Amino acid sequence: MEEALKFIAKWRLGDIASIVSLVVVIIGFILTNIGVHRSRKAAEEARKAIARFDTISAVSAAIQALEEIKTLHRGKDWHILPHKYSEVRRSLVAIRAANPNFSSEHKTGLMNAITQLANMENEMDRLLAVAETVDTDIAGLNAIIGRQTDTLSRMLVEIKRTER
Amino acid sequence: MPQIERKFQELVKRLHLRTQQGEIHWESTASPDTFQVAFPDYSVSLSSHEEHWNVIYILAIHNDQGNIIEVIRSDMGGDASDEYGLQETMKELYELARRQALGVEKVIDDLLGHLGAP
Repeated sequence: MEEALKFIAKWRLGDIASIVSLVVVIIGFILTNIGVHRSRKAAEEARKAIARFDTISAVSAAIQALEEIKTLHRGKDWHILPHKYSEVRRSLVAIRAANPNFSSEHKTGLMNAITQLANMENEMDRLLAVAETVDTDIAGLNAIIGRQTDTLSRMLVEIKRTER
Repeated sequence: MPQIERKFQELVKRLHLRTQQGEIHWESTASPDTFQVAFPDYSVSLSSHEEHWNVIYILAIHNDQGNIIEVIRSDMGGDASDEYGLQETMKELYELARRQALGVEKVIDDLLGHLGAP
């Protein structure tokens, strides 16, 4: 036993063991940090992918709802329309709020559609307040809706492109 | 002139200038006398109304939810003297916006094309 202790003392094996332990601890710490960083990055990527998917779904739903509005115009279902305008407008406001990093072009396109729908809602409410039915330019209204649909479709293509 | 009126005046002037330069694009709306232009966070609509045999131009500023948050009237000065110089500028701006939104220039070019050279 004494021989062994002398051998350890002679070759300073205690110090070497301490240094080796320290190196192992440092390597372990670095590996753990790399793992945490990778996990965080993966979680962030997953969060971004979910947010992008939500945006794609919401924009697609808004395009679909705008197409329905065009059909309602053609069917002269005036009394349902203010509610429909408001519904789509609110969904576009939500898309805008959920995507603060959207490009200036996307934001402007959304802002334009939001204001057009707000204006349509006010105009339809005003017309329905004075008469049961509305005598308005259906083709003109659908042209406005068509422009918003085109803008949202272009936006959808751009968002999907950035996904790749 | 109060600070806010000065800013209104400046806003109308700049919209007029940028429209003349073709840098902003007005669109027609559901209301036949109203035209709008959007920016990333706000939009602006311009309409004309007849009040007591006078044509009044109204510029509305919309927030990010499409709600009107401020209105600038061409008769803001309160009398015919056009104290703030808005009546003439807003009238011109309205005409520029209307022509741009309805594509009047292109229509006239097409008509001239159909009619041929004199």
